Amino acid sequence: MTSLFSKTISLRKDLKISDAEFAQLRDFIYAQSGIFVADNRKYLVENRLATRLKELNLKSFSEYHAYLQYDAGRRQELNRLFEVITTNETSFYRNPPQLKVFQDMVLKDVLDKQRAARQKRLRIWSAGCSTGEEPYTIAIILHEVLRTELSTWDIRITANDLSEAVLAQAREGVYTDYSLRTTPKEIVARYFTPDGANFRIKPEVKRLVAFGQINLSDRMMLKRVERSHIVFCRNVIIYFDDEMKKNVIAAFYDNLLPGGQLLIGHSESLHNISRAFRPKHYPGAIIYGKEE
Amino acid sequence: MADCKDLCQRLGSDDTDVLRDAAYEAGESGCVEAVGHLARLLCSRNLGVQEAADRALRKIGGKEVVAAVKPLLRSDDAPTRNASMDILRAVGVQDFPTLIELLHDADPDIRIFASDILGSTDSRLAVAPLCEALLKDHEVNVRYQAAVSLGELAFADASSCLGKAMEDDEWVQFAVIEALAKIRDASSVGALVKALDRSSDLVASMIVDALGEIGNIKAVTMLLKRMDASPEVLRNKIVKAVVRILGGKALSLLSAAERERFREYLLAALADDEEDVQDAAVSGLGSVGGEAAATAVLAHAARIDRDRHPERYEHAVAAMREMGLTEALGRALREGGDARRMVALDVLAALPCAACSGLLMDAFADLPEEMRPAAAHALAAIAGEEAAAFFLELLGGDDEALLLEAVSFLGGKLRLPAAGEAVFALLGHPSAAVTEAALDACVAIGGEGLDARFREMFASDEPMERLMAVYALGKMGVRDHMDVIRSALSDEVPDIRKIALEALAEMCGHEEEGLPLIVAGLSDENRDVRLAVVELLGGCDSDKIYPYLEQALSDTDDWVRIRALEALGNRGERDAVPRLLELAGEPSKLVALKAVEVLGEIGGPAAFEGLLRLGAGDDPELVAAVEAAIARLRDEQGER
Repeated sequence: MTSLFSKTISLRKDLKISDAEFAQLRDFIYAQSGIFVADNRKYLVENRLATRLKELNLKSFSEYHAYLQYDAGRRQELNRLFEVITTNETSFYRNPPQLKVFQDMVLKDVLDKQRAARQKRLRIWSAGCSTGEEPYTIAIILHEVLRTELSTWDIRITANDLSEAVLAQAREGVYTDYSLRTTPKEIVARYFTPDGANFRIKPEVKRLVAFGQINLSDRMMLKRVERSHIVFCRNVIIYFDDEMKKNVIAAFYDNLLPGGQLLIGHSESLHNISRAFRPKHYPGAIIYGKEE
Repeated sequence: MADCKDLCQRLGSDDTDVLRDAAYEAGESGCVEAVGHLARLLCSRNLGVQEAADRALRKIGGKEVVAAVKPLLRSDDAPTRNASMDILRAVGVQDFPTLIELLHDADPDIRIFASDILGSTDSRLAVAPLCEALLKDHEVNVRYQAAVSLGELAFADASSCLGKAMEDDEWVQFAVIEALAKIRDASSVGALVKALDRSSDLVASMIVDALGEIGNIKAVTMLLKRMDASPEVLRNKIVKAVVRILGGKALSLLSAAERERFREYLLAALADDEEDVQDAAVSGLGSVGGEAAATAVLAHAARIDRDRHPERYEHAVAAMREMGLTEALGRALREGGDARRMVALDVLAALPCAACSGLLMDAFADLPEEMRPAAAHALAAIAGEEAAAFFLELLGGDDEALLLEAVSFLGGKLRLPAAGEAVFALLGHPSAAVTEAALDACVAIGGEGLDARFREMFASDEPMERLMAVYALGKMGVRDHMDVIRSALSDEVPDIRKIALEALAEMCGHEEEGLPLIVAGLSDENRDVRLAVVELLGGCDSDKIYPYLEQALSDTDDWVRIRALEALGNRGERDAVPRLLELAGEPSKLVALKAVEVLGEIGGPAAFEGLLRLGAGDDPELVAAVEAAIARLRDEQGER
């Protein structure tokens, strides 16, 4: 039975986050993850975490800060916190116009160059992969484009996220129809097997993706990622302040092979963040290219 | 830390990856020797290298960077020139004399750049040189940029020279007026007003805006005089400026004739294209009042998209309230469309008067169904007993929102015994919100009848019903229902045990009855129940509870121990100091840090000596907490 209090009296005590507590928690989150929680999200944080504090029987947000640092359950709690402050809103085939540009322009260009250089090797990095929809979508597109030729290629999609919880889901590879709401029906039929009311990604797609935990604020960790032809980092840098954005984008630049290309979210921009990339404008997408 | 010499060597590499890495490390380590290399790399054709050098130079900063980047302002390559400008905007203030020197350069472009950079320094020292450039430079674009930069800096010292520059070209005047508006110094009003008569309409409009921003009353007479002769757009701007300067209240001090004339202008300004002009007109109309003003503002509020502009909508509603109960409100409720009706309801929700309640009750039945909850809400907010019958009737309905309003009004506001049975019946309502509101209302109404109903309810097999009964009976008088509370303390559901304990709070000092029942909960198997006991003991004003708090310090759960520590700290229990010193050595960091904090709270020689000993430990976090506790003790000692 769930706690009766979830429906009744004790939950009425409103937990408010003071400015000092917000600053304390924001700094802690930033130090742990590089995610910058802007001031205008103070009440969002308060709303989203208040229930959690009550479940933990904590009286204030400064106690929650202490809990995150010292309680025996702090590791699991940190994952919960990351889930609260990031939305993990994603789906297969998210932003189709951008993916069309990826398939028809970016990918075609890289594959042609690799074929010409007699190097059938492709590395793609999905940084901030959440529950796996993005890297699996990329893998499906690769299947669609290369078809039978795929087996002759050495392909690896490195997929990273901060949260172990979402990575566990990604590795599982089972999705509800909500995750597939923007996916063409024939793609679902070809690359998923029904699993009760859900859909399981097929092993030949899964095989192309390697999941791992990464903290984008950790420069050395980023340096260890294998260099890529293409980097996807969509709807991730919105969580960072300018300094952190500059660091992360610089790390992607360093990771990309000469001529490599970066794809960010359609509402994101590198304006005032980096001048190192050459933006190419396509209908529905801007692709940021590194010099050859 | 990277070796600076090695970095300089790597900055000479041909490999772009090596260059970027070296630049990053030079920036992070503040390697000043690398500045020359980095400035050279700023001209690199490789964008990645250029960007890495840019970041490193900003990080290093100082005179060396200013000196190395300065020559790049003369580069023919636009990206290099832009990058050097950006860097100097960020670090130029660290070598002021160099910037001043650039302000006297023979090349006007360099003087424009220097004026621009000085505007980013946030330094008062930049005012005098920029004023000199504004008044003496022969190149108009330098003077323009100097005015812009003085506005960026926004120091009042610049007002005088900006005022003098009002004689300059119109092009410079634009920047000067904007700068004066940003500075908002009263001394500039004279110069602006003086310029008003000889200015083009465009400049006059900017001056009027600036006078409104500055907000000095000296400008009002001049602005009012100018109003009749001005074209409509400028007149509306003057309306905005006058409202802004005088504020709503002072408008009512205008003579009757002036007020009437101004009302007409305010009504006209309400139709202006600019939203801030409309908002100013709303403020003004709220102050001068009258039926025509009320009708116009209500119609205006109804046109505002309240989801996109909630603050503008609230502003208009507040102006309507300022005008009081008007015919326009009644008309809107009776004849208006949905939008006008909603405005009237929002206005009435904070307009307490008997006539307002009557207006709402009369209109209720004719309102569209979806608007009735808002009407009930407005009525509940302003009405008294005159609305009892109205709300009792609502209790018979099944609309959740209306039920919530009725329950809260009859129970929370009126505490009406006649509503008791009907409200009690709602405890079985499927909506949790209605149930909770009804429970609170029952407690507020009280009385023997409800008392008996809750005792009956306690016998239920349904945990939620038992919980509600214990909660209500505890609130309605714990001493009259001790049998129920005792029984609830051994209920199989932990939350019911918790609620029973909370009910006993007022009896915590009662040694024979209340206290033994409460402290028995310290052995409860459920951690949340034990936490509730400790919190209750912490809030108890009795000298008998110390042993129980000490007992809780040995609980298996860290947070129970922490709450016990807090309670001991709040009570200033000096007898607890030896135990607290033990706990400060606990492996649980949470408990140890809390024990240290509480020692600082309790104070006294034993705590102080103990803290000094703990301060010699190895754990930096614990030592920092000890230092904070000692500082607190010292502060308190000092205050005494």
